[in-house]
Amino acid sequence: MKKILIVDDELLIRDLLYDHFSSHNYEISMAETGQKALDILSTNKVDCILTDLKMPDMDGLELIKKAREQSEKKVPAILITGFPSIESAVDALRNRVHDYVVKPFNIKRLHDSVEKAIAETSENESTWEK
Amino acid sequence: MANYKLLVVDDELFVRELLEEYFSKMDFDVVVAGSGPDALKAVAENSFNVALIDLKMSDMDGIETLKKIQQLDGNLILILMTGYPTVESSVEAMRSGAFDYVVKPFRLNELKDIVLRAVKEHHVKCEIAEIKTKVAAIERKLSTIVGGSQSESNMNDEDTESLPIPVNSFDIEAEDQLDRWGKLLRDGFISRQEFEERKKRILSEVC
Repeated sequence: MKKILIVDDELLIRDLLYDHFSSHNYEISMAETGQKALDILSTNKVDCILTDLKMPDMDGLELIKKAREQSEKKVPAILITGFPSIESAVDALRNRVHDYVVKPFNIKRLHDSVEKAIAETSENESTWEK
Repeated sequence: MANYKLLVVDDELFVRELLEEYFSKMDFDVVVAGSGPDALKAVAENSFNVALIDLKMSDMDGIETLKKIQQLDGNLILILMTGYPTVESSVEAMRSGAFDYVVKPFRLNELKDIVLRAVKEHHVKCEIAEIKTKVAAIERKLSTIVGGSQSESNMNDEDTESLPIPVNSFDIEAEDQLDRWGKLLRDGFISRQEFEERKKRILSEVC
């Protein structure tokens, strides 16, 4: 079973994502701040991080960078934002974030993106392991 | 500054002329193309470090051009430019493998910095590709040795034949060019006759 970490300071979004992904056979961890997400990641491995961009303690991109620093494997990550800008989108994707999803989002599109991010990452890992 | 090779793809003559003049003064070898198909022909004929591609073009848009160029030359660093920026197209461009997404009107010195960063990225990408090719060659060699079913003399011949690295750099270039023109033929950008003429020319240069 694949594991997803959902990070958003809005309870409504966390609940929505939890309901959807847990009903599609994903194991879910949730955090409402960047620091709590890093605490979870220090003791748990996840297959994908789904994080809000704008959070009070740290932004989503900072969280992804820190999460990758503290992990051996480069965990795939997707940014979600209600305040999109071209600069932050380009910055996110330049930093190897898999996708940049704008709220309100289509849950199917987000689901596809999560699946793709996990599949591409395991594909890359197996290529390098060969 | 070393002579880096830059491809400018834009259907606006003014932009092509502006960028050609600016980067030529900075000792770049600049080739311009007014459309996606022309850009593909230019990539088949040359080895560029960086390509600047307009997003919105009439016959083939920038994303499609970018994807087709990637098939021809996977190491080339591609930068998309647009006068009609949106978050969606910036995400699509970057997810498709663009190195950067530049909004028009741009400051030339800022664009220059981006292009110079792209040149560095190109060097890194080429080095990685070269290392991967060498590793693959060594692995093949090792597997032949470990297999040990052939005599030493045969093994040496086999090694030379199976090495993915052609004997000299001229052969690499010819092989690369033939491969690119073949892809253009398959995708319908050139005719069979044009392909045969190109092939003849490339082979005559090798022989």
